[in-house]
Amino acid sequence: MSVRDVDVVITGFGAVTGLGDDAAFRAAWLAGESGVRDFSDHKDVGGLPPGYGARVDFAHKQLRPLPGARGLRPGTMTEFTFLACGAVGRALQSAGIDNPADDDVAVMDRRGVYLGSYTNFPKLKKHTSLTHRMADPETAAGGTYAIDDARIQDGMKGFTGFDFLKLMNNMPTAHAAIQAAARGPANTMLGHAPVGLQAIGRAVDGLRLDLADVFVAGGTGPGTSEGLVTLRHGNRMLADAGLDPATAARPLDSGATGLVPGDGAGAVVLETAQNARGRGATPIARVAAWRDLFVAPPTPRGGINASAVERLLRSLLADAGWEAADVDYIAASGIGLASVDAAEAAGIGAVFGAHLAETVVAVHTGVTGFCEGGHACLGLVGALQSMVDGMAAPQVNMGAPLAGLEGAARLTEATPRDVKKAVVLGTSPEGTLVGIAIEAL
Amino acid sequence: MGRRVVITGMGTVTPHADDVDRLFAQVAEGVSAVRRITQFDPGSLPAQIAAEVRYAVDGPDQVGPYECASRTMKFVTAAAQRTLADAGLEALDPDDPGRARRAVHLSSGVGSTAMEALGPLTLSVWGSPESNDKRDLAALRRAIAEHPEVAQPVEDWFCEFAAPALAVQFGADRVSTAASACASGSHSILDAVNMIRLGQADAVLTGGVCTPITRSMMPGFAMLSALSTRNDDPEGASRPFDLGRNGFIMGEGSSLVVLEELESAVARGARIHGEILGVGIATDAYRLTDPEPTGRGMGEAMRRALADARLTGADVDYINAHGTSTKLNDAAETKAVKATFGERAYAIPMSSTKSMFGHLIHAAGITEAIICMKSIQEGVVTPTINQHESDPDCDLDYVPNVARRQAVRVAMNNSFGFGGQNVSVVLGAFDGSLS
Repeated sequence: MSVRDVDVVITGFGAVTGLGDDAAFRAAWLAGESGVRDFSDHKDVGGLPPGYGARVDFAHKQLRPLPGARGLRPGTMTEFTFLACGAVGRALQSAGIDNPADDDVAVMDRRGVYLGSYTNFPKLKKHTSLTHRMADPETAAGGTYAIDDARIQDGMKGFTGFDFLKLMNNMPTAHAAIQAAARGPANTMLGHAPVGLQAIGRAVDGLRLDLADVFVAGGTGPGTSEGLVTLRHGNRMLADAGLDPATAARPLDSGATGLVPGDGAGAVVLETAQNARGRGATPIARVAAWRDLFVAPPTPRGGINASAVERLLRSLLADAGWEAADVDYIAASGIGLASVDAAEAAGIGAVFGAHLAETVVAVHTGVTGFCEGGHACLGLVGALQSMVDGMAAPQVNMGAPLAGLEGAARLTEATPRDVKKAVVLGTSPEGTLVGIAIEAL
Repeated sequence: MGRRVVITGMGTVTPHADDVDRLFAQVAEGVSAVRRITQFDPGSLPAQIAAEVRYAVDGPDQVGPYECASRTMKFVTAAAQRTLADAGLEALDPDDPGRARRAVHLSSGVGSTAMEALGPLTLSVWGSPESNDKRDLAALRRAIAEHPEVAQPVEDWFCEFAAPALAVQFGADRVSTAASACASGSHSILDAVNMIRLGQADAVLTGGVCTPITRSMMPGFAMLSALSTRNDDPEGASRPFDLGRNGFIMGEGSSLVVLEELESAVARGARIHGEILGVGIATDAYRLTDPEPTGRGMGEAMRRALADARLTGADVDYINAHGTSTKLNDAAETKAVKATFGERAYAIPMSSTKSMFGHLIHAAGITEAIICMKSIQEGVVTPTINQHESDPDCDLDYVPNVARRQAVRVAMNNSFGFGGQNVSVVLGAFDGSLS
C-alpha cells in the first residue's frame, strides 16, 4: 500500500461538556463563565475530594436527537461511552451526516472511528461491594482483610455479564461505530489528556493510507466520575478542597493547586478534501500536521519538561511548513498540574517568544475543568470555533501566567480575531505530548 | 510500492513457555496448557479452568521509573527483553537521535485486580462482609478521601505504564497504547505497519499483554456465557469448530515483535524472520457482543488484507483462525472464510491454536501471528486439538488434532473482537529481494 498525498480537512465538530454541548460550551467560554460547581452532595461522587467539578448530568442520559443515536441504548453505556457518543453525534450533525445508517454500504465501508480515552471504568460501586463480599468473615472479625475465594460467586450478585463487557476499553468506539454506521477502521487509543489528539492524528494517517474516506475521531473523559476522581486523588493530583469552584481551575496559572475534574468529550469529522467536495460538505480547516512525543518522566507521573514541549512544537511547525510567527492561535493544554503546566508554559515561551504578544493563547480548562481523554480535543473544538466565529475567548482564571507566558496577550473578555493558523497541544504527567496544526479554509 | 515491513524480533511469555521455539514445539505437538486455575481457588465459579503462566517469569524488576511487580508489567517487560534480544537491538540513550525513528505501540487492558486494594477500607467502613446492611458508598468515599494511598492501585485497567516501560527498554520517542478487545494483538501489527509505511518510524516494538485471569473477570465473562465450563476436562475444554464447543478458555501472557522497514533492517544486518505482506481492518457496526452472523465484517477484513498484500486466496497456504471455541464466532468465521476464498476455502488448512493456549485477549493476535511466522519457517501447520465431532456449520479443514508438515509461504492470521472489530494480517516468508 502506498501513501496518498491528500489534503485532510475537518468538516464538522462536536462536544459535550459540563456546560452542555459545543454551542453551550462556546457561549459559556465567550462569556468567561466557569462550569465548575460544588458536587459535595452528589450521589455519585459526594464525599470525594475536591468536592467540585464541571459535571455532565448523567442521570438524564439522552442521545436521541443526535444522528445515529436511535440504535443506541444509554443503559448499555458507561459515562465514557455516553460522552463519546454525544460528541460523535454532534460532530456528524455538524458535518451534515444526519442519517449515517441510510448511506450506501460502500460509503459505510469507507467510514472509520478512532477515539481516545484514559480507560472505561467510571464507577466503583459494584466492584467495591464485590471486594467487600469476598472478604473472609473470620479474619475480618479481627480487622484483617483477606479474600475467601469461596465467596467470590456470592459476591457477584447484582452483576450482569454486561457490567463487565461494557467496561472493555474499546466500547466507546464500538458504540460510536454503530452510531456512525462506520464499517471501516475502528480503534481506541488509551492514555492521558492528549490521547484524543493522538486518535485524531492516527485518523489523519488512516486517510493518507487510504483506509477510509471519512473518520469521526476524538476523545472522551468523564473526569468527575467516581473512578477517575478516586484515581486522581490516589495520584495526589487533585486541586485543594475548599476553594471557590468558579475560580479553582487555573490553567497555566501560578495559583493552580491541581486538577479540577470535568466531564468532556470532543470529536471532529475528518475526510479527504476530495471526499468533502464530492458530498458537498464545507471544510472548516485542513490538518497541516500532527506529532506525538514521549519522554519518560523521572517518576511514572513525574511530569514533562520544557525542552520536550519545545521539541514537539518545533517538529510540528516544521512538518506544517510554518514559522512560529505564522501561528495566530495556540490552544494550550493547561491541565492545572504544576509539573506539567510549568513545562508547557516554558516550552511555548521558548518557541513563540515575543510573538506571544500578538497571538492568542487559549485554554479552556478554567471553563470545563480537566476532562481526561477528552481534554485536548476540547481545545481543538475551541480552535475550530474561533475559526468559525472569528472570536478569541477569554483566558478564564489565568490571571498570573506561569513563566514563559509573561509576554502573552492577555484576554479578559471575548475579542474579535481572525484565526487562520492554530496549533493545539495535549500534555500529560506521564510523558506523552501531542500537537496538531490546523489551518482555516 | 511503498515501504516494506519485516519481522526482525519475536518474544513471548505464554502459558506454554517464555520462548518462541519452545512455544511452537509444544503447540505443534498438540499440547494443551489449560489447567485448573491456581492464582486463586476457583471452586465457587462456573468456569474454573484457564491457561495460566505457571512458571516463574525471569524479567526485570524495574525499568526506568516503572516498577515491574504486577503480573502485567512482569510479563510485558520480560517479553520485551526476549524480543529485543532476538532482534539484536539494544535501548538507545535518551539523547540518541535514533530514538526519533523508533516507536512502541502496545495493546493492553483488563489487567486489574485493583479493586481488591480497597478491601481493607471496605471492612473498616462497612463492617462484616456477612452483613446485609446497605453498603454506604458515601461513607466509603469519605474514607477514601482520608486515605488516598488505597486508591493508588485503581489504575491498572489498561495497564497505563506498560507501553512507557517498553519505550524505556527500546529507547523510543513515540508511544501509544490501543485496545480493540480480542482483535487488539493483530491490530497492534496493523498500527505499527502503518507507522512504518508512513515513514514515522523505522522500527516499532509492538504487541500485546493481557492478564485477565482474575476473581472478577472470570465470573464476569462466565456471566456472558462466553467461557467453557468443562471444568472436569481442562485440556479438552477448548474445542474450536467442534460440535461440542461451549465457550472459550481464558489465557494470559504477552507477545511482542519488532517490525522494521526492510531496507533499514538489511542495512543493520538484521536477521529477518519474515514479512508482513498485508493488513486489513473492518468493523461490523452491528452489536456489541455478537459477531455479525454472516461474517461480513470478518470477510471484509480478510479481503482488505489480501488486497493490501496484492495476493489472492490462491496464494494463502494456511490460516490461523480467530477460532475462539464459541458457537457464534466459529460459525461466522467459517462463513466468512468461505465467502472470501470460495471453493479454495476447503483446501486451505485453518487451525485455531486457542485450542491449546486459550484466548490471550489483547495478546492473542500477536501470539498467533508469531505462530504463523514459525509455521512459515518450520514448514509445519499446527493443529486444532479436541476435534471429536464435526459441526455441519463448520466444515472446513481445521487440521484436526495432529500437526502437518507442509510448506507455508503465505499465512493469514485472523482476529475478531467484542464490539465488532475485525483485523486480518497476511504474513509471508522473506524472499530476499529489496525491490
